[in-house]
Amino acid sequence: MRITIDDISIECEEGELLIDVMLNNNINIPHFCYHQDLGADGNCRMCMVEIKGAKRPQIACDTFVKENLEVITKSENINEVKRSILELELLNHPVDCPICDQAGECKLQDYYMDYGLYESHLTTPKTKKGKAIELGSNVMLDQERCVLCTRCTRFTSEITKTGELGIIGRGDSARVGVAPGHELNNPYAMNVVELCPVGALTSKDFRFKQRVWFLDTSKSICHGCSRGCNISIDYNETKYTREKIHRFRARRNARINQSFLCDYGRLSYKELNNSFKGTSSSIEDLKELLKEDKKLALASPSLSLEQLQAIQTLCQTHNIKLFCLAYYDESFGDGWLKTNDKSANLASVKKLGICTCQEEFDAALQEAELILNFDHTLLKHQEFGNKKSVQFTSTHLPPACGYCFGFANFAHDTGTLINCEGITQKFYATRFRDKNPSLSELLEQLR
Amino acid sequence: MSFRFNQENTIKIASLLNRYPQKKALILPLLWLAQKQEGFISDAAMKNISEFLELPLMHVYSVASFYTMFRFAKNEKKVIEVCRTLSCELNGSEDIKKYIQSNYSDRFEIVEVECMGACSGAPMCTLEGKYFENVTPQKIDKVFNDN
Repeated sequence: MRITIDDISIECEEGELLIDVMLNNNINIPHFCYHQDLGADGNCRMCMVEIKGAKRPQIACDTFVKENLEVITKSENINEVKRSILELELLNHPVDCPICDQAGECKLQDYYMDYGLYESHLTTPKTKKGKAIELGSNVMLDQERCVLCTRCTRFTSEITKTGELGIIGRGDSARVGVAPGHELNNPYAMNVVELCPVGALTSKDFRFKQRVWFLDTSKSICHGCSRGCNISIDYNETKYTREKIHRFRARRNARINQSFLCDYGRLSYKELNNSFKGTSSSIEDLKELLKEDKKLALASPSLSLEQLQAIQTLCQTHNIKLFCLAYYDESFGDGWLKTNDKSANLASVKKLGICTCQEEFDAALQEAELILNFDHTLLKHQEFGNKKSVQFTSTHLPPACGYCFGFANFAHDTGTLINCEGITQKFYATRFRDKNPSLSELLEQLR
Repeated sequence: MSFRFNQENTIKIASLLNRYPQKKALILPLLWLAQKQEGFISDAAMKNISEFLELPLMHVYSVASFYTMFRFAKNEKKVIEVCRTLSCELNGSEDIKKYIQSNYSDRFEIVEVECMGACSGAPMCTLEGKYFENVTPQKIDKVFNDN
């Protein structure tokens, strides 16, 4: 089936929403309340389009495509409609963009510059509402900035089914809030910050830390568990500070995480700022060490497929027994995004045929004289007595008696992960190089 | 503090249950009964209703706060509601309102409300939910001083 949007012919399927077709084809359509993973609500009226044959403008989020539908998104008439709607949305808005954390990624700002540009008609004082309200779970609410799109309340009532958020009051006193004496409390709560198209909901963890226009973004995969949720890593490097990662945002993938991320995964960015700061041992010493008998290596199941392959090759050439133990946590999974298997890449480990047996590992550990640990948390802080040990680490370790090599963490490396459903995905490095080499580069030197 | 519907209201609720295909349709009648029973809607009453209807507490609070006639705090004073909609306005509710405000605002809480469906007796006001129609300053003095 074909439809025409602004004189461009577009292929689409019967029963699709017009706004979905537009979003999937990167056609600019302003909207607040519609969200591809929350569905249509039709309350903001920003997605008005002209449809040939229809008497008056229609909202694209409530229009299903029909054969030969002709849609106009830009015209004098429709811009005037959007301008009036926007004026009503912004009527009681405090216009405090200079101190608002959303500035730069705010839909109100964008649409005002695209369609607004009017002088306010308001002669009476603006309605005052609550500001800087702590909702719980790191979420801060400013009721005056809200456009009442109800994305956040629909998220808690339809997605998490916890129903903490709702609209209180009506008319110009309507505002988002929690029930008296209650707070926003669920393991996915911080998604509402990202869902909010304006500066009403902001993250306590991120706000006032960085202006978003100073941030760069790289495509990555969350390493928190085996689900492999798609994320964007927001980072920057300023004149006087080394590169720092400021937040994770969910990157839409309809097959895996839609547009959502659990709070555990979202806050796991902090570990990435804790890279190895010490000096790595000499590679020549390591070459000497590898001449020992009875060697054992333990690899983290969250390493990328490429890293695991490099380790496996090393182990085969030097006759090292290689193991990989899963990070398993019975209490973590929840049947939605979180899985009990907290290793990001166990599927790759199995694909490469690396031994994951705990008993065999325990037995080998007893016998081994040299232990190589590739970033596995089990052996990271362990003392080995008179056995020699080599730590390959992506996080900072206190100076220990053994040998230690730092390597770049997943934000600074490119690689492949296979998630719990067998989906193979790539993640990409940020623009700035880490002080430490990548694990593959490091192992290359041992050849 | 806990809340339970009294015997009389529990019987009412049981008969109301048969009236609607879905239990959640009872939300407004239940809020009304709770307000009648206690004089206002307490947090405990909303919790009780949300558990009874199997709805999130926030949903109940959202609905209750939408309607201005539900109150969330106990009244210190008795409430006078003065209608300000068209029929009463045309029949002089503005003067009545001013008269009540200047003479009774210390003893009563005065609220302006929209049409209460007694246009034939405009102008009208209520005291504690009881209707008084065709009110004049003399009639007001008589009724309010008795209370």
